[in-house]
Amino acid sequence: MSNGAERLNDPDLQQIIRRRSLLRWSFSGVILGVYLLWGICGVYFADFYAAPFFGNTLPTGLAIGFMIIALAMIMSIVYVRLTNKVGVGDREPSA
Amino acid sequence: MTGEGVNLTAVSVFVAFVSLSLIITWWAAKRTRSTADFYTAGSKITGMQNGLALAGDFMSAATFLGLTGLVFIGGSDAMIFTLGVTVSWAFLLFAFADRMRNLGRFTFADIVAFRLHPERLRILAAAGTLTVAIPYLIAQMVGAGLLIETLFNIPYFGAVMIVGTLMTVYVAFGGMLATTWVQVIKAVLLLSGGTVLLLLSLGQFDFSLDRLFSKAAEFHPRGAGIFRPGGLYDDPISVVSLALAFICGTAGLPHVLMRFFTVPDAKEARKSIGYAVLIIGFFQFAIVLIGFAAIGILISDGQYVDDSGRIAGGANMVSVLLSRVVGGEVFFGLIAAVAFATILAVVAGILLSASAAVAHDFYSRAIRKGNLSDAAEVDISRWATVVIGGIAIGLSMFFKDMNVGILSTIALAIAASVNFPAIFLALFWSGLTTRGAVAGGLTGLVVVIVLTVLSPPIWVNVLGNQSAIYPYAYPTLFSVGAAFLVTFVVSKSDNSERARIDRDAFPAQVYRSETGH
Repeated sequence: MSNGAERLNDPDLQQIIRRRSLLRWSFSGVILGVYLLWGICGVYFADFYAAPFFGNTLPTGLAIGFMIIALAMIMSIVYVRLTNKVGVGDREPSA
Repeated sequence: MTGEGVNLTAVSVFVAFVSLSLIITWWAAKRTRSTADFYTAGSKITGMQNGLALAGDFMSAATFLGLTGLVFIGGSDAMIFTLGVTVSWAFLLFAFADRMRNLGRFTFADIVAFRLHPERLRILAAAGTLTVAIPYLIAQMVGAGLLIETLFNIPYFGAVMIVGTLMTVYVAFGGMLATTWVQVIKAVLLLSGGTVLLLLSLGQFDFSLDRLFSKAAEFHPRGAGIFRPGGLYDDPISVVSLALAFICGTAGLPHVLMRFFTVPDAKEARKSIGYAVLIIGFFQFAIVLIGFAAIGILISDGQYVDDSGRIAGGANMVSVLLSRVVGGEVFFGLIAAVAFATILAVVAGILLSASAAVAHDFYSRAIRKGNLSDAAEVDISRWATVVIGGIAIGLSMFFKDMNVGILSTIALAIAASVNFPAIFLALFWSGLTTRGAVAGGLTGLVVVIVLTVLSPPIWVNVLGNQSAIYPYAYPTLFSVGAAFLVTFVVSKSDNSERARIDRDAFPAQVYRSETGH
């Protein structure tokens, strides 16, 4: 465990950590940002949210909400696929 | 509904579920010998099984019964809850899954105690677990007691005894293995029951969403007003506070975090939460549609609704009553039994996390400093389960009239304010010190409790004051903010010898959290 700090200097591992960290924060940022934006916009554009979505009685705010749920599901599939691939996901230590 | 005799389907489905779960417990008990078996089922659960169990942990009575009721009353406003649930699980996957799995063994305390002062952090984490688990447990058990009282004509006292005894038996004998399988079976039952309920409800509108929503606007007392957000919240601070309760609260729930350790490695951990997001996302779709369908169906049916649109037995009964109208007595019995099974499985998971906090983090690690044999610790865990189960039964008798929704919101807010900041900063900030984590955790706890008491749901509705001192319904924006701020400032100004050890061990922690070695 004490040599964990030294093994961290391995350039391959450094690259893996960088890639994974990029995925981690970009995916988190997108989904949290979209959710908060949707919530806050609901306060200011309540009438738009209540209006019918493309001629249906389905309200626009709900329709967008459904799309965000779908987005979270799709992003999760993509994230698991990407991070569980070799080179980005976990690997055996070189030593 | 009461006084009409007992629904035979409900009783037989429920008895079948209980018998099956007891057989599983007996089977699991023979395989549960070490602490690793007891707390994490030997980390041998597959990603798919754990995904179902995780989804099951979150699809509690509060989601299936509570959220459907919330859509029924609040219309579009409820979407911020259903969306919050799904988004918070996706966030849990992106930000936490792999690092948590690689660092932890039994409880989330393993993560915060990796480089910080182990005993102090274990005590803080155990306290954080209990302050979340106890209100959550009581909320679910009170909900179960009331539901059973209404559906099966069993008095509240007896109903709480049944739920409390069964959950204690599952956990004390079968540990995590039994708890997981009970949760998996319940998740499958709930998903199938929910899907059939959705299809039957959509069938009433000839599967036209257009008709479903126009009927909802036609029959709801607020008319098309239910499509307009703003009834439950109308300012950005409340929106952000509520969103934070979900985002940070889910990632601070001890019984959810404990499930990360039941799978073999980080890869399976990511997979399992990926499955959980898909299942939960689908279920949230269904809940919104079922809730809006219920407006059109139940109010036009009129049987269970009074003139002002209030539902017989309270809004929590919406999905159960809807099943009776669209599916008849047999389907109604099925859904009622599934709702009961749901609560039973959820309380077992929470109880297990509470007993792990007491036996593992507090007693074995902090008090005995690890000098306790594995077999002795398993015994202590079993006894802790029995004692906490007993306390939960006792408190549930006492809190019968407490609003279940308020209790679970408080539990989620405490998880967000006490556990989340410590876990998040321990994982990602090299500057975190022991003193900072302890100060921040205590700050979060005090602020969340004070603001909750001063907020409208308690200060006005429970204590009967004129207007609330803290005007927003949710405390999380300020309590989570305060916890982060205090943790940051105290850590920065900490020049102790311990602080140096805490900071120096960060690279070793990163190595372990990224590789699992």
